[in-house]
Amino acid sequence: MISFPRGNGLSLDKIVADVIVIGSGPGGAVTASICAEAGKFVVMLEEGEHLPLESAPHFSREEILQKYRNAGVNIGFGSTKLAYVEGCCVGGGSEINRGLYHRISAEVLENWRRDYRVDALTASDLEPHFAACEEVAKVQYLPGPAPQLSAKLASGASNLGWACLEVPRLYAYATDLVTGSPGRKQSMSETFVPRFMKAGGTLMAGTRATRISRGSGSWIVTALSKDGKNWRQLELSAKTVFVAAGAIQTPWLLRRSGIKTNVGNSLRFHPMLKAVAMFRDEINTPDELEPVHQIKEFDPRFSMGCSMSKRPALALAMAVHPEMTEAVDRDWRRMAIYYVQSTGGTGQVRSLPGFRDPLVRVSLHPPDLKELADGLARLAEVLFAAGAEAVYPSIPGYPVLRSPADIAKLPETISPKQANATALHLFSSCPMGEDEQKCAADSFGRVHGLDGLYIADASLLCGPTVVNPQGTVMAVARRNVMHAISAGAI
Amino acid sequence: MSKVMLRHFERAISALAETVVAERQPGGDTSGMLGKSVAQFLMSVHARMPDYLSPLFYVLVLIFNASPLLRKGKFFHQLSLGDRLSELDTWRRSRIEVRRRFVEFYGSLGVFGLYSDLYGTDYTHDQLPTGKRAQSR
Repeated sequence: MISFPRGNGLSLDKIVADVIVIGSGPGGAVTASICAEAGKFVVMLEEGEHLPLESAPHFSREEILQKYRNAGVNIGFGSTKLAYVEGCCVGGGSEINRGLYHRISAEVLENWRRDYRVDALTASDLEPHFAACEEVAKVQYLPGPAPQLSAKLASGASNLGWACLEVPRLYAYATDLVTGSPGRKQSMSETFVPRFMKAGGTLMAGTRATRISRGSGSWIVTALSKDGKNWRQLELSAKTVFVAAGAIQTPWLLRRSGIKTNVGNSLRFHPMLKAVAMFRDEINTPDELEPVHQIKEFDPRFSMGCSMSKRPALALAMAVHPEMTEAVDRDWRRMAIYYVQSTGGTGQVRSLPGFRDPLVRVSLHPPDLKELADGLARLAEVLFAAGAEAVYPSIPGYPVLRSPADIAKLPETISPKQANATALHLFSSCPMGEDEQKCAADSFGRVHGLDGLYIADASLLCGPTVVNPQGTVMAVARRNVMHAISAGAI
Repeated sequence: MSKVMLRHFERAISALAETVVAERQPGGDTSGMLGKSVAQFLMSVHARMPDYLSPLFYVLVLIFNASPLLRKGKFFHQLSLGDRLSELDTWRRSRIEVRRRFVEFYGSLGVFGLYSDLYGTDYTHDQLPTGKRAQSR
């Protein structure tokens, strides 16, 4: 029921729903659509705008301004600084990532079950949830040959005898694809959000939840909604609230609402370093699809892959080698960006009194930095095995590598101040499980000790997924909301 | 923030953007449109930064703009292009980390903005409904 307490048809100041979902990324959109399809009146709040996939080219200046939180300027502070990105639009991170898709390994799940005492979280427990999500958001392999910069990585791995695989994407490729328009990305705005709305759900874009509090028998969410250039305060109430604002915003909202037990203390991420490889032949051409290969030889220590290598991204990655400015302009078709990412590092999320944005502190300990340094050396090794003529680590002050012998010139570890690490995957800030010394929520996402309040995003995952996490976030969200519905909690 | 300081901030960002463009495209921005576009991008990013960072960057930009005053008697935005380029280089090679980081931040953002203008459509495909036949080679 939506009430209009001031009798003004244009003003929705108080809203009463069965379920409120805060955040419309992979966790929120899956949760909201299932609740709506179960016949509940669901309101999904999203701070960012509701934009079509085509509103901006992928990884463009426009996309960063439209769909990235804080225009992509997010810094985790600490002895090593870490730049991280989050989506801020309907669909959240699924709109800005490349949609590379994995199911999480049974070994990682087993570690979580053991270390956090999570019930019913084996690979077979999650299998039907992965399958159901993959029915809605299509997961497909490339319909034809891989892009050359992706195939290069695979050939380097093959030459070294390393395990490498083509990773499917959340993508519905056009049929009979040869070149040109590739199809449709299966982001949340293309899949679960339309499904949610078709089931009668109410999406409120441009609406930022600022506090959650307990009312008489229900939860009250205070929010600010964009009204032209102004913000309008709203009050929403429901018996059940799912917080799915992502691994940074979820603990921020809970903590500023006074819910702090094991919230925001155990942030984890996949720290990533990049390097640009220069090949003899042209391997980076505009009409190719996005790269899809990943090297899994060293999992779970670190994995390697290919990055989007458009010219703006190349210029950014080569900014630490200013002497190569002209080479980027001249030889960009022979250059591509590759990455290595590990699982080390921890962080904390805090709300700062008087400020809107959360403060994130990160720590990359010496073993984490050593692991990244090893990973970077291995990345250079595979790129030379793929035929690279030179490798340019994207780390200030690092040497250009012109042969495999130069790999020995790389420092054995990375100095904390020098590390130019970024993170696209963030999780574990409010882990789930029955161990109340460590966990913010129970095995199915209900905040410990608080009926009707759930967490439904990557915050819940107990540690790094090792692989791209979106599939796991969706499957765990589905598992948890189905459990709540079947238990009659919603 | 005073109107004077705001004006200095905007002028410093514009000058910084023009200088980054000139570094990458010597003589390539005769109309000044690329510089304006990059400046607009830098201003948009500043407006969206975390709220505890934007005042810090605001002050850093003002310090950067005032830094040539003692040696050259002019603000950064009043310098000739050649002097701006050497000022940027001085900060880039400074032993003070915050100066290096400042140039690194605005330099890379500016280059990203510039290259998005110049080459952003390189890889743009028209989105097709799923199942529709793609363009043949």
